Amino acid sequence: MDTTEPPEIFRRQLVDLLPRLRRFARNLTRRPEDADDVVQIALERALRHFDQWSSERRLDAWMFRIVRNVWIDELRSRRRRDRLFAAEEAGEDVGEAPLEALTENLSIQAALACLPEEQRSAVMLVLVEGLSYKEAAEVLEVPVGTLTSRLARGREALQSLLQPNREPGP
Amino acid sequence: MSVTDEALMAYVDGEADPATREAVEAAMRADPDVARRVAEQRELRARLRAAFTADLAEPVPSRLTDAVLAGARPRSESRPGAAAFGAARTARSVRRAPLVAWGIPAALAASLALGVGLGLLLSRQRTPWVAGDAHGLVAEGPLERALSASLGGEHGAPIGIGVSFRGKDGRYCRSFRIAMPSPAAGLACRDADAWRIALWTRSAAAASASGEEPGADYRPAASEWPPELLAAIEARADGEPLDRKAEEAARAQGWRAAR
Repeated sequence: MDTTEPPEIFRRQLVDLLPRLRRFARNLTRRPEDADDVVQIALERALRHFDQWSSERRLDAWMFRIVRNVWIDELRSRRRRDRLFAAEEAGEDVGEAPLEALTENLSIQAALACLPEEQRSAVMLVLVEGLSYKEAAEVLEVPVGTLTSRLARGREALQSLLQPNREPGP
Repeated sequence: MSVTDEALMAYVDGEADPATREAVEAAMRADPDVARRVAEQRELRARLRAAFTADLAEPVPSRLTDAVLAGARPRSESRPGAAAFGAARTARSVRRAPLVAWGIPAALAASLALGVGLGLLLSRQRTPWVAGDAHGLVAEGPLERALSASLGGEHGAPIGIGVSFRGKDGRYCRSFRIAMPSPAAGLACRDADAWRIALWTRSAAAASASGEEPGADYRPAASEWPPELLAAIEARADGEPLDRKAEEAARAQGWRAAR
């Protein structure tokens, strides 16, 4: 197979994206160790298929999509091994360290972590990463209408977790 | 004048077309409630961004930069699929601390950056149902009591408990829904000393189902629960949901995980 080397500029742009890719992967997987594995596999995949990226597209959006697909593949194979939730929950009860004075940022991250993945990713891509609806819909491989409804539901859920004292409207 | 949630969201996200933008702005001038909703959405956006900014400052592990640059080095062997989940996983200790490893430093750093004013403002905003700890959210107050004491199908307003089941790791999990202050549904799993919120959702299904009159005696059909919740239950459950007798037995044991 003819393997054309990715150009240096492509690699440099990938390196620049690493902090954002890790952040996205953390919120996707909810575990930092998995996140770096996902990012590493995604990088290798991107380098192998760099010719499928066209420069009219945002590289970050293209990479977010690969990162997410890597994670979906991994979840499927874990589910096949029937170890998904055993592994996940083994990690959850490590060292009870409740924070008496909960800080805002931890609570917003904790709240986001409770949302279903599809809403969590929609929120991350649009509200944190600043992608347009169209770009975010492409990353998630759904129609724009689906993206906006996930985004709306994710927002509502966050609002209800973070601003619960407000009475509901009439 | 009313503005749809979609129009309002598109406006806040800079996705509204000119006509929608004008309509929202007119509505904001005419109706303080619309202006308040826009402000809330903007605030949520700003808080999210602030909460995740500190993550970007964290140093990137060299294995990731290496993965990008390795092939570029002349004549170097490209690293053989270094990132294989399985290998990494077995080498690693199974017990890990999600969120702790990154949530706290990020939170501390960002809260310093945010300043005191916002912190004071936000400290009053606590939900009556859940509290956060280093690993996520745990049920508290009435939700904690309902999860511990109620049997499935009992509808003590404003909290309803749905199904209970044993997860693949032996822990008990229960679905629940909440009517107030805004309808939501979720899944909680019992840790050593707390009900940990595994999923929290506000889908149309949750809204319509929990919008029932408080105290109405009904046991919701499975189809009324949000699909993402049903999916989470299916993925976690080891076998069938508990029947009433099994629920009573589990309750008597304090929902302690059976190994």
